[in-house]
Order: sequence, then structure tokens, then C-alpha cells
Amino acid sequence: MQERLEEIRTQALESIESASSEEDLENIRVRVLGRKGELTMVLKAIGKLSAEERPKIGQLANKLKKEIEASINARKEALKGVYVRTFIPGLDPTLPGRQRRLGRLHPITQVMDEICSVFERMGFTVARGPEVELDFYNFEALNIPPDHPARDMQDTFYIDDKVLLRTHTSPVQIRAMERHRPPMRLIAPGKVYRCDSDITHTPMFHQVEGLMVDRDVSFAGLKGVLTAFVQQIFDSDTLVRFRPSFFPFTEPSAEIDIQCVMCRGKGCRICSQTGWLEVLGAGMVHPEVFRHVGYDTEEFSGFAFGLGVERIAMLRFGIDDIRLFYDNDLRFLHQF
Amino acid sequence: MLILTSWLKEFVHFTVPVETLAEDLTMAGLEVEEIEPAYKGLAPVVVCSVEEIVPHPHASHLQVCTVAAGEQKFDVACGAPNVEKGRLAALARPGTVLSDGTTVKSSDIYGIRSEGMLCSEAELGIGDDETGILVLEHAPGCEPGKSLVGVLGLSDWVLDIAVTPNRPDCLSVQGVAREVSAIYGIPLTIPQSPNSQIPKFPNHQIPISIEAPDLCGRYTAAVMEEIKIGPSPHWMAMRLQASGIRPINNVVDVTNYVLIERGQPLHAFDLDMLAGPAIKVRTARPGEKIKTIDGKHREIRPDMLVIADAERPVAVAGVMGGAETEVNDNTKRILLESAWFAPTQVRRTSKALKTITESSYRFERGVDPEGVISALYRTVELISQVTGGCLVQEIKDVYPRPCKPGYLSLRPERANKLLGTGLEPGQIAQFLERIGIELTHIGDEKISGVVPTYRLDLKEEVDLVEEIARLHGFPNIPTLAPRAGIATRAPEPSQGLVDRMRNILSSQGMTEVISYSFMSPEEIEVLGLDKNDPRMQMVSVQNPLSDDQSVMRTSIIPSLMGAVARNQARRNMDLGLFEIGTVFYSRGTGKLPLEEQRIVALCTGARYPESWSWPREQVDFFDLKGVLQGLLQALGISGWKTVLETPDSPFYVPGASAGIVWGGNSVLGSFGQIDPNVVEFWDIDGPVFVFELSFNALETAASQQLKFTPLARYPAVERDIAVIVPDRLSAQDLLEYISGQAPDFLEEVRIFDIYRGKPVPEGSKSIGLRFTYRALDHTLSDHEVSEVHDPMVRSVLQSYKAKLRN
Repeated sequence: MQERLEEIRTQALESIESASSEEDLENIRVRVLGRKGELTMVLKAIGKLSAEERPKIGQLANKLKKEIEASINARKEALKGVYVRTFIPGLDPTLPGRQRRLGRLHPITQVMDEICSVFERMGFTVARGPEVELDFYNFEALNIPPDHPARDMQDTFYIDDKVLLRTHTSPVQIRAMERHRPPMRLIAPGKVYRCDSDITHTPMFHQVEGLMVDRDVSFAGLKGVLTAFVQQIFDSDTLVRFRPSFFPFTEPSAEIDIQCVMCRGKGCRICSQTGWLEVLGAGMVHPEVFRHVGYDTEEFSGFAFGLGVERIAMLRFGIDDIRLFYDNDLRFLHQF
Repeated sequence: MLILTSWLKEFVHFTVPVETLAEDLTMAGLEVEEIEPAYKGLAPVVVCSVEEIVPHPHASHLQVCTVAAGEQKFDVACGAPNVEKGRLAALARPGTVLSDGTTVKSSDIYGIRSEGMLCSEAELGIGDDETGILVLEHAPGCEPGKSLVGVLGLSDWVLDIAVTPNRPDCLSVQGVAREVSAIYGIPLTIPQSPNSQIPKFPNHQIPISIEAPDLCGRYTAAVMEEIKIGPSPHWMAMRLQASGIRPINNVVDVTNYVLIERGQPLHAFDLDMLAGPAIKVRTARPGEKIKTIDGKHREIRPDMLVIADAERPVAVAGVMGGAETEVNDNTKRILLESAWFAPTQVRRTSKALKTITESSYRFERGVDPEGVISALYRTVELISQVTGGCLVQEIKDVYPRPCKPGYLSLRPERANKLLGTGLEPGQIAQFLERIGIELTHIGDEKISGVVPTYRLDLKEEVDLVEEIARLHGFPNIPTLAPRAGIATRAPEPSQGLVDRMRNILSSQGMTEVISYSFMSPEEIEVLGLDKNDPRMQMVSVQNPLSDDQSVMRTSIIPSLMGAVARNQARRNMDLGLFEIGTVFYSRGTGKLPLEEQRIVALCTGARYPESWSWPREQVDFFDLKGVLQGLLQALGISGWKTVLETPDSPFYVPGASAGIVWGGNSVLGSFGQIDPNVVEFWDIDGPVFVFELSFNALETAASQQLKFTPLARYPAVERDIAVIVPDRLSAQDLLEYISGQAPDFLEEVRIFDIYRGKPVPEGSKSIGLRFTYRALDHTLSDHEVSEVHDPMVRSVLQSYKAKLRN
């Protein structure tokens, strides 16, 4: 029996020594230590031995088992250490990788999200409303009575006498003010509609409008918020100009120009040689609007503003035809 | 509004350069959109000297002149009597625009090349003389080669001003002058025309009556005789042209001239054509018609206001005069009208007649009721000057509702609070005076005054605050971050969900599109829906831009199909698109439609971008369903089922479509292959797969609070089987049956293979199932697994008369 153990030992250690892979070692382990392995068979046969031989052989066999295991492990470690770096031929790393189709978000969605997040950082919350609106919310409550020439400022799609496609997201402000008391800080992003179609107009486009109402809201604050907005959306050193304008629902009203992003104010085709680009309309909420929603005009004041998302996106990306946004050509969508 | 700066200077003597003026007007609220030289068309005209004259070989009335303009010499044909050798003349080079609107070209005149034209004053539009060429020898600093505009100092400018609807008072030279005066604090010099003409024939009395004083607040009229109709003098024609108005004859031109100068619309009737003669301002009678001066026959409705003579309407009040009483070449006597009509009335009429005129544009915005008479004086003055006519009757002024002066007060503290400024009351008072307010009280608490009648926009305190803001200058108002409390209102949860869906879909390779909310009814009708389907309840737009945008969309599927068609036309064939948007279902006239959000995705073309490393494969039904599953999984929606019936969606291929149901009976949406007959409508190639989900249903399903599942710490045991089952057995039924039998430690059953064909008998299929067993609290033994797995397999085999494969 002892000789048999010696024989197993010699063979095992020899083959372990000459093993050149983990797989070889695993085969040796199975051959020697597996369920029907050489050494396992010896251990199984111990029971048949005499009483005095049994502990001796048992001890030897167990010792050998540990030795072989240790030797296999040592060889395993050694094999790891002797891995020889070899050149793998035939692989061309310059071949293109297996790329899955990339999905994109529409540029308008991306710009709109960015605009909203600037205002959300300033504590404005998003509000929404119907796209098909009542004349009352779209015009009358905003101080644009029927037969007012200001209605010509927005070419309106009508559904019937009372119902129309909203021409701005301002109705959302009215609906919000009807429901909530000041203080109020909201933005209303969404689709709006005007019957106009050319290189700078589409019958549907996107607006983000905002409203802030509180006890001490002033025109100076309006300038502060919108200057910060413009400088976050464009460059932090973008020049901003506020100039008087007219909207029936605000007074004083302002249009906000930024220094032309193309020519840096020198004058070019994009800015019609003026050096300025109009990007926002704004103003202090007209008392008539507050009266419509039952706000005390002495106690509260507020400002409102609105901008066209397409316009910002066009300036941002240098897009020259607004209709591209709704053509949905993949070659266009995949650029953003 | 086009404003000629030389005209403006007559009213207010500003000294700043035109660019500064434009900038300052813009910053005061009168946006100057363009500055153009008034004599832009004359830019190519140069001074030349006539060097040689020879008779034209083929035309006896012409001569061929060789002229020198600086270094260059040109041959031009000329028929003017005053061409002489050595003379300095104006050579209109090709590109010049002459006063009659024609453009000078280089051309062959009877076989001789003529490289321009020697022009008369009249041809150049700088004077009336048309008898011969303009002679320049006496013009100071005149040298051949110099620009005519420079030599004659024709440096006049036209400002194109965008006047906002609240400032009709600025729709005139006088109005803009008032603004310039207010901006710079310089005096106005408005020429006052006296009512000094003494009536020659005081016996003429033409009755004038206003029957609708609510609609016509004032009507003034003057009667003039001895009119000689002819062209207007050059200076007047030039100013009209620069203001965008075509000269017609001296009478009409004067009325237009005063309109531009004072902002008051005027009309001249041929007195001999007026029946009566009499003037009645009244509403139209049923069935009345009028032919207006634009030659159109118009039906006028009883709610329209007309100017009538003793018999019939002769003008649509405030909009346009009638052709029959129009001033013509034979007119000798005229009646001039200067009136005030109610803005709403004029606006409605102008809308109804689809006609906007210089008059209606001003009336509907509001003209100064007090300016009506002074404009008439000015008209009479100019008509006598240019036609030789004279006033023969005292000017009539019917003014049933005299305009009352408006008083307004302003609290300086309020103004400063609204603007965020610290202006002194004295400063504020000065601004108010500059815009023509007659101050009656100046105090620290309050400043009051009388508002000029032309400032119709000044109605309450805040209107004055705006005036102060713009005169102080927006740039001089501080820029401050407003103070506000922390916002505590939660954003709408639905928006977060939309954003998540967009991100989940795009992360699965789908590209977002945004389409118009409009479509054509045919695009919905082609879907073959039941006529009671809500999607057939379309909201029609009264005034669509085109027929294919005439209804609001009730489904987003046609929007995406349109996008596919356009992309395929440009050879973008492999498309994974999605759109999240609103659909609109009509609820009847006068009511807002029902608006719902839909999520629609579409796949067509190749599964993956073409590559060297995988075969080109077309997308199929299960690619689309995979995207759908991914969306539902990422939204945390579990327990949804596929149902085979999609009765509401006849636009899918039968058998290749299904519905998605959650929570027993909530329909999340449907998916499937679009019927080739429907696909054909859009001219699309290849199969198209679509899913459509309802936002509301998804929102409910996705609202479950997410709960953490502990991670398994013990190893799993896997068992694979393949069962041969009847073809018609659905995978979902099989899996449901299994999960009904399963112990709680069956973690997952996955279908890893579907096989049809030999040796599987016809009408059957083999489904390969991998069972994963795992207990949370111990390592499962083989025995433990077999104890439940084997009976379960037997039960499946029994229930479906199935066999194990191999």
C-alpha cells in the first residue's frame, strides 16, 4: 500500500510539474483526487486494511492528498506567473465597433428642458394647460377684448366663435392665478399655434412663458431674472438690452435683445445689421389682468415673460430654416 | 410707418445723426426697423460732361452723345433739346430707378448701344422740370464722376418704424415728432394752418347730419371750388412716394399728404356727383351696394356705417370711398371730409370687407378727435396752394359727442416701487410734461394732470408709469435679483413621467420626433375606424393654412407615418421613431375638446445599422414589442398582459397585433404591424411596426411606489425542458399555467427556444423553457427542486397533451 502511495506521489508530482495549463492541472486533480481518482481509491480501500496498518496508511494518504493539493495550487500560481504576452494576430482595432442604433431627443425638447431648468433653479415651477383654448383665456382675460387691434399681433386659428388654438401659453398663467393666491412663480412651456408659415414661422411652435407675482416684484427684478436667464442659456458675458414695447397684458412692456451671437454685435445678415437679436418679450403684469383673476393690484405686483423655443434653438445651433424642426428628417435629428 | 427725416425736421428740429435718432427712438419704444436713403434709386447717377454730340444715324429726333464721368466715357442716346457740348449733366447709369419706377438698363436704341440715360429733374424725381435734361454747371462743387446724390445734397432718409397697436398717435410725422420732442426735451414746431379763408359764396349750404353719433363722433366738411385737377408738385409727390404712397392727382395727394403728416384720414368727394348734395352718416340699409375706388363691388351690411348722399352710400365710413363720387380729371368742386369714427366699428367693417386701408388702419386704432378739424384746415390750405381751389362755405363741424379731457394722477412712490427706481417727484413731473401732459398738481404724494387727447393709451396710473420708464430709459433702471421665498409648490408629477419615458425610449435607440398637431381628415379615415370611434370625432380648424392641416390630430400614428414617408423619400430607411404628444377629441361646438397624451413608437427597416460584423436583418414584430416591454419595465409597471383582440385598431394586420392590459381591465395600448393597405396611403416601403399607449393609463400603472427586492444570497438551480405543444397554444397561457402551479422559489421561467419543423409534428411547436429555482434562505438541493419540478412538468404535459422533446 505504501508503495502504491509512493507511486501515486511520484507520478502526480511529475505530471504537476510538467503541466502547462490550468486545464492540465484540473485533469490531474480529477485523475488523482476525483471521485474515482487514484488516491481516492486508496482512501476508500483503507477500510479493508488491518487495524494497525489502517491509521498509518490513512495518515500517509491524507498527508499525500494535502501535498498534491498544495502542489497543484503552487503550480497554478506558477503558471499564472509565467503567462507569456504574445501578439494576437488578425484583429484590426481600426474596424468600426458594433454600434447599436442611438436614440436622440428632439432638439426642441433638449432646448426646452434646458430653458425650464434654468428657471426651475430660480424657484419657478412648471404649469400646463390645454392647447385648444377658450377665447376668454387666450385673449379677454389678458386684456385683449374682442375687436382690439392687438388681436392682429397674433394670427389666430379658430375652431369656432369661442374656441381657438392658443396663440401663446399665457392662458396657463390665468388658469393658475384663478386657482392659487400669490406668491406665484411659474413657467408654462408648451405648443402654441399661429397661422403663419415661412422660413422663420411655422403654424405650430413652442413657447416658454413665465410669471412671478409677489409683494415686491419690480421691473428691476424682471431685468435681473431675465438677464441671468439669457446669460445662462447663451454666454455668461452676453450683452442684454431691454427696450420698450407693447403687449396688452403687461405694462411697462419690454422686448429683450441679446447681442448678436453670430457677429458679436458688429452687424450681419442674421441680425439685419443691427447687432441685436430679439429673444424675449416681457413686462410688468397689467393691472387689468390681475383684476380678471381677483388679485389686489395695490398689494401685489408681478412680471411675465415669454420666449420662442425654436428661436433660441435656431440661434444656438445656427439653424436657418425653422421648418426643419417639423420635417423630422433623421439626418437633422441625429445632429443634436 | 415710413417717416422721411426732412419732413420730420419741419416739426421738430433735432440735430443728432440719423443713426442716433433711430437708436433713441427704438429705445423709447418706437422700433426703427430700417434706415434707408430716400434717394436710394439714384445711387448709380453720376455727374458727366458732354464731350461730343453726333446725330443718331437711324433716328432723326435723337442724338448720340459721348459723355465723360471721371476716367470713363460712355455713349448715350438723347433727345433733349438742351444737350450741348461742354454741358454738365446727370447720367443715370444702369440700375438707376427713375421716378416712374422704371429701372435704367444698357440697351440698343435704333442700333446704337446706349449705356445709360441723361435725365431731367422730373425723370429723376427731384423736381418738376421735364422740358430738358437737368443742367448742373451751376451746382456748387459739381465735377464729372461725382455722385449726383452727393453733389445735390439729397441726403434724406426714410425710417421704417414699427408702431405698436397702443400708439396710433405715432402713425404720422407729427406723432413721431412729438416723440422726438419728448425724448430730447426739444420744442415742437407744428405749423398751424389758420381757418382764415373767407367764404366766397356764403349761400352754399350743404346739409350734414350724423344719424349714428355712437359710431361717428365727429364729422367736419369743407367745400371747395375752382379746383384744377393735375399732378402734384414734385416736393409733395416725392414725400408721398418716400412714405410708400403712390401719387394720383393733386387733390387725392393732399388728402394722403395730410394723412401721413397729421395721422388724420381724409376723403375728397366730387361735389357734383353727390346727390342732394347732402351728407348723411348712417348705417347701411338692407341690400345696399357700393362700388369702391378700388373697383370692387361690395355688399354692405346693415351693421356697417356709410357716408351717404341724398340717395345712396358714397363711402364706407373710415374704410374706403365710392368710385362714383371719386375725384377725377374733370372734377371742379369737392367736398372734403375729416371725421372721427368709432374704432370697433371701423375694425369690424374692415374685417368683414377683408380690406385694410391707411384710413381703416388708423381709425381702428384710434385717431385724435380734437385733431379732426386742424387736419381739415391743413388740407384746405394745401389744396388751395396746389390746385388753385378756394373754400366756398364755412367749414362744417358736427361734433355730437365732444371729447372730454382726461385727468390722471400718479403716485411717485408707486412708480418707484413698480420700477425699482428712486426717481424724484420733480423728475417724474418733467417726464410727464414732455409727453404733453398739462400738470395741475405736483406733490410728493401725487402728480396730476390733463392727458392730451391724442394719447388714447393713457387711461390709468400704470400707463403713466410706463411713460416714465421709457423716458427715463430702460437701461437706467437697475438690474436686481428679486427677493422671494423658497418655492414650495411641487411640480406636476406628469411632467417627470414624460421626461422619463423620453429617456427610456431614446436609450433603446428610438429617436424623438415632434410633428404638427394638425392633419388631414383622410389620414385618420384611412385607419378604417368605426364611425363612433372617438378618433373620428375630429376638431376642425376654421381657417387652416392648407387642407392637409385642417383638423387637430386624433392619433399620432399618421404623424409618424408621415415622418417615415418623408425620411424614406430621402433614403433614410432604418427608422426607430417615437413621439409623445397631445391628441384632441371633439366634444361639440363651443366646448373645449378632450385632450389626451399619447406615446407612439414605430420601427421599420434594418434592426441594426449596417456593419461588417452582423448580417443585415429587418426589424420585426418582436423588436417593437421589446421596446415596449423595456419601457414598461423601466417605468416599474409589472403584471401587464398581452391580449389578442384589438377591436379598436383595424389598422393592424390581423394576427400580428395585440393589446396591452394592466390591472385586469385597464387598457394601456396596443401594438402590431400596420396593415399594408394603410401603409400604402403614405407611399411607404416595407413592413411598419407601431405601438400606441395612453398616457393616463400608464400614469396610473406607473404610480406604484417602487419597493426594493433583497438580493439572493444562495445559488440558483436551473432546469431546462422542451415541450411539444399545439401551435395555437400561446406562450402567455403556458407561462401563466406554470406560474399557477409554481412554488414560491421558482424565480423565473424563460422561453429560450421556439422550434417548428422536423421532427416536431406539423401543427405543433417545441417550446424550450428554462426554469430557475432559488430560495432566499438556503441552498436548494437537487432533490428539493425535483420534488416540485417533476410534477409540474407532468402537469403541463397532461393539461396540454404535450410531449417532452428528447
